[in-house]
Amino acid sequence: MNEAYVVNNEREVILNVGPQHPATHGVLRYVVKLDGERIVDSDPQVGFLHRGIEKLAEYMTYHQFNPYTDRLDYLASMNNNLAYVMAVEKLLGITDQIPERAQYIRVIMAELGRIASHLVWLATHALDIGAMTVFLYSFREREYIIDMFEMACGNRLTYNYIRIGGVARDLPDGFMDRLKEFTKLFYGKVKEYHQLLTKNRIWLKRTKDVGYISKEDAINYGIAGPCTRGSGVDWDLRRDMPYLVYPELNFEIPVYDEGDVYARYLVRMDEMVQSNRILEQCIEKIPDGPVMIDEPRYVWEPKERIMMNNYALMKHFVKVVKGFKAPPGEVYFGAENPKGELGFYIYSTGEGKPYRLKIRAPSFINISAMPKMVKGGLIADIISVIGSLDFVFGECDR
Amino acid sequence: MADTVKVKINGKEYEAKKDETILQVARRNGIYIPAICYSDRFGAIGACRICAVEIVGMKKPMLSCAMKVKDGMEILTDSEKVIEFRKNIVYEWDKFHPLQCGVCDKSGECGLQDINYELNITENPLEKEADPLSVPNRTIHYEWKIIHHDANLCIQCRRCVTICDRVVNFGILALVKKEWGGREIDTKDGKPLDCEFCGQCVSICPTGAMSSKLFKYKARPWEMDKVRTTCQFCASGCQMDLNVKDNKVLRVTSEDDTPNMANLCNLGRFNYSVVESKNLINSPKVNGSSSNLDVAIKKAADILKSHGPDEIAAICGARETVEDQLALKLFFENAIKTSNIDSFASTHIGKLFSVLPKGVSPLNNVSDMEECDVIFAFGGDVANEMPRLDWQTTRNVKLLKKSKLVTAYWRDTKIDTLGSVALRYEPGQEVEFLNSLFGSLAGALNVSTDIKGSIEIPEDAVKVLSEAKKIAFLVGQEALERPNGSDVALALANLMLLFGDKVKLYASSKYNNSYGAIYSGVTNGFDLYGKSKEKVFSLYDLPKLVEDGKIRAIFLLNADLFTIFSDEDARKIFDKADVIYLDAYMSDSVKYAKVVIPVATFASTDGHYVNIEGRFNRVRKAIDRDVLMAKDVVIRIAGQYGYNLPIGYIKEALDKATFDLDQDMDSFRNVQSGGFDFTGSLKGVVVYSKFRSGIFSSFGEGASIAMEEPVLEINPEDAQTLGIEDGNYVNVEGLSALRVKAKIDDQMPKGVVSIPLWFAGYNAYNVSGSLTNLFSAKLMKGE
Amino acid sequence: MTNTELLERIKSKFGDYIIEHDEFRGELSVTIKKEKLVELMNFLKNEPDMLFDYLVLVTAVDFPDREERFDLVYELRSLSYKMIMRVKTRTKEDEPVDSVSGIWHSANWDEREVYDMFGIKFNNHPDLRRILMPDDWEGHPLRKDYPLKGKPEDDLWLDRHLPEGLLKKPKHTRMP
Repeated sequence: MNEAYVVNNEREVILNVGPQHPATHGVLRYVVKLDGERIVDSDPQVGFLHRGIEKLAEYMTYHQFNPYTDRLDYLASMNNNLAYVMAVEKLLGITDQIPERAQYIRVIMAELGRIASHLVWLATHALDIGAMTVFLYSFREREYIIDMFEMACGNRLTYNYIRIGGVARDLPDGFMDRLKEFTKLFYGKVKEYHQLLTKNRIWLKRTKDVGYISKEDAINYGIAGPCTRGSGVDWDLRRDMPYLVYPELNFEIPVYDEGDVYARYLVRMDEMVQSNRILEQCIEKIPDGPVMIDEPRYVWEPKERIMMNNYALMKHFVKVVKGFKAPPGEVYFGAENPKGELGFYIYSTGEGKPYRLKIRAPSFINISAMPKMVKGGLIADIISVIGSLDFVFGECDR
Repeated sequence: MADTVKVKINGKEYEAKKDETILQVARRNGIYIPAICYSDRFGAIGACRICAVEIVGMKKPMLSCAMKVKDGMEILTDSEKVIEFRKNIVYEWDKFHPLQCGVCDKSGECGLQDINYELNITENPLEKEADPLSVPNRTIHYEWKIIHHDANLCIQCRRCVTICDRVVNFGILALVKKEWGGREIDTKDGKPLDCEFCGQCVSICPTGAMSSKLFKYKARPWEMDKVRTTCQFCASGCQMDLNVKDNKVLRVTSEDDTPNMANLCNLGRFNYSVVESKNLINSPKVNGSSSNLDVAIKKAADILKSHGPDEIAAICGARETVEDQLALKLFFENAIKTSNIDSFASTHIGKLFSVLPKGVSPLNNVSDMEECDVIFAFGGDVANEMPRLDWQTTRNVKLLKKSKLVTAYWRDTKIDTLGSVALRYEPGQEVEFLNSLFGSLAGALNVSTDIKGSIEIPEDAVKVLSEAKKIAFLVGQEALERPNGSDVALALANLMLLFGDKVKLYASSKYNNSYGAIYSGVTNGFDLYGKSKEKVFSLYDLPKLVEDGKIRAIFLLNADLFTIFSDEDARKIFDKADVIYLDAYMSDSVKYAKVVIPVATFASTDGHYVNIEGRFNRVRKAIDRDVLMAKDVVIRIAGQYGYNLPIGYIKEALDKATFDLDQDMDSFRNVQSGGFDFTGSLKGVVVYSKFRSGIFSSFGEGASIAMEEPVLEINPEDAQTLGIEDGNYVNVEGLSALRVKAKIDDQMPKGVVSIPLWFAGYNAYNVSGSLTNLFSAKLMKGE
Repeated sequence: MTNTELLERIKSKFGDYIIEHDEFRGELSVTIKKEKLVELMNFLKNEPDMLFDYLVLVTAVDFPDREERFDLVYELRSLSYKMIMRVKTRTKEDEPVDSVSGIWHSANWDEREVYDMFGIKFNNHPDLRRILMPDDWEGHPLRKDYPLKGKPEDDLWLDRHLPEGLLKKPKHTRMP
């Protein structure tokens, strides 16, 4: 029996921060054992949004599973797509054949997704603690980004744009100009957010020395992403286990040592600026060329070929109905998501459908560290910590 | 182990037996070699040449499906030469193949699509040669029944020709030269297809050239769910997959790993439409008017309560699951306390299994027939009664060339085309024939006996049978259903006892669970697990008992009385007794029974059938209907009666799953060779048809398209004497008259006519009388 | 340290207990018998030139035809040396495995999820209960014999937890 459910003396009270709560960012049931206002023990209960995506993956081909990855972390869908697609490409062994233009487009989409996700984080984190203005400001910038996404692929929230072997279609005319405009104005906007919050006394009182986790504990509890960088761990998958064209781009990794909510806030704010830097470099360096590899064994061929040649049509049917034959083996690939490290573990037996697909979700691991972070704090600190951990239940419960 | 050799494939060493082919060795060890025209059902043809492999030391690639392994062979399955060779073959096939994947039915399970994908064909250098104007479009046979042939999609692998010839033994397809210079698959004589319509060619064609008209354009292969179940049309127990989409059965397929080797007959493959709701009983009926389930169950229980135990009888139709039969037995023996239970199995195998001789093995795997070096087919047309025995006989005699065939019947049948020693007698003379054969064989085997008969048995037959090491006895259902069927069974038992443990018995049955009826103990003379019991009540006595008023209430479980009785006898039973009728399919009995309760068909029920091998085959639920299983209806009636049926006993009885037959007979018995007194010049026989099994099979699309109405078969000389020509309608009269079409067949012996059973609307038992299959015939030309 | 050197170091200490090892797409995976699992994990974490201090994931794969039905997979990472490795072990259906949550805390919730989805029990786990499915659910969903659309018995769970007549209950169709 978990300690959080056992009442030891008459001062202790068990409180249920229930699944329906405006500040829990989703359906989280958080059971807290209180002694007055101090938290003695707690137990998060997840699983209210469990949809069985891992089981569904065993009945679908690799191409068919792509839209399901969008719905994991629905605030940064491009990054989820990217992690899954890179895991499948690693399995097939075609990682170095992806054309360069496709790689640059993927980086652009990933960084835009990171900025979009951090804007939502800022809005809701500040809103929970009480600052409503920040919500309206950051959602204004997010609209700009979502409009750009709609130009590229037609959707505002779940994109299915990054496919196995490249991207679905080339960027439309006018996308690059819009992107340039965005990068120019974004620096100023970040300064506005800093002016609202960073030296604000109420903000400092609510977030400094709250939710502390040490460096060793952060590694031991398996947290990754901005949460560990706020505790002094200098680790970022884009630099330490690089993928796509990140080695050719210049960017810094912000690391702060304090380990509390304020440090994580600063990490994310700096990350947004760094992502903007990456976007500026990509605009200049992006080459011309195809956006999808020409490997008829795995990827759809152009429609002209399919409609004119009978062998292309036959192969197309086999790829769609039975799925391409992936080589047998197992791979793991982790990508740097805005929330942490999203990893896909695929076990393939040589068929067209994966035998086992495991999604390593950052939010799942981050929530498991919550009891350690809030112990000894006040009830109101729960809200700050929830905001700073930034989890989404789509990927936590899968 | 002196005949194992070592071969090297792709660098690794493997062991193989001496006369295995390279393809078999590779498949056994998980190495993939594509092969389009090879199939385990008939062996290698060598027509497609895709299976070519490179052997170190030989210049050209050799075909691995036909080449046998030799010691020390080194084989490369994926070298460049081989891949180039295979690609050239596929280029030839792709040259003329129309761009129809989007509309072709086979798309998604097509062999040509798979081989194009595996070889990753990205260009076709032979495309320039194909001038669409130089080759006229090939024929598409729209006029064939049930099977649709499109010669444009054919890749000429000759699988259909081979399977029709070597497995089904009908041999109607061939590669025929056409006017445009090339060859196409067509019938040997060019006429529209008129065959058994078993659909084997459809199931084995790798492309969409041979397809089924009943399934055309209904669904895509990946949309359908497959449910493995057992066929319900005869006791072969062939495993098949019902392909279901949206709660409808759209087609039937079978896989290679089944005991019947993916073979199915016309009844099994094309008659899934019997389970459509328009052919089924839709609501319970009481006294002829629709009612609901609770009222019907209450009325049934009331009928059973209002009569004494000796006045109630139960009949099982041998088409329901073993669980249903066990529930009925428990209810009737423990609650109503009557032993008046019988099933349709007592018309044929019940008679034989109560006199089984010592040493004979009664339930054998059909594939074990390959161990027998003589096959003795007696008393029935094996191909019409149980096609699975026909395929196994063909495999033994034609493909593996292991056995000799001895047939004993009153006419030539399909298996005689394999080449057999033919023993012939007149219909009705079965016992005399068996006694004569017994006498001759006893002489050859030096067994002293005084049983003998008057028919002369040729010397070569006696020689073949007496020198046999293992004999397979294929006993037809027709012979055991003669008026003196019990005597036929006894004479046959004498014959089997002569050979002792050399005999493997295969007693055919057109009822899918007649062996289950023996296992459950619902057959006269058998108790649970097939143990012998005293004979108390027989199906044959039912009409008389009802007429005398001794039986007042009858419980029928899947037993349509019109399948074994004439219309007149059946109606008398329905008039005089209170009949409770549980069945799934619409029939004449529904009109006359007092209480009618619908139960689930074989596609909606869960249970087991026992087949001729004694195997408990699982029947799985594929579609959902709002109807209870027969077992549950019996449990509810029992509950209403006041008896709590112990369901645990049913499970316990099923868990045993082995028979406990008493094989007591160890000495020869004297059998009186009675016959049948034919009056008049023509002898009439009621035979089984390949296209009907139970009257409800007339609802099936495949069976009714293949043969819509029954035909009377008559010898050409008799037809000439009576002035009848092929296709005329005649009135055949025995106890009463029936109007059927006539067909002249020169394999019919002179003086004999035959009419088939179970065609809806033409009850053959009206002519011959209930439960007999011989009659004195009078023919008159009708209009 | 390259993969071959890593494999040599592990083999030199645990050679008899290694069932098999494989290298695919640059990742090394070692299968070890489950009695020595915790020892190997401690060795990998504490050895000064390996220092695998980060546990990425714990999961299981189901092979219903094999006697040792489940394959447990642990993915390890060393932040200081930038190395990755995979440790696997096998277990039968009713046999528990030692838990590694004492070595890495992140294994706590991952092992709870493995227990919930597959039914594998862990010894010395501080709090082994269901995490994603409801607490009184029967059955383990990610096993290969659990049907995709659920079992008809799942309707009974809804009966117990929902008031009568409040919500339309889903009717179970036949499952693949």
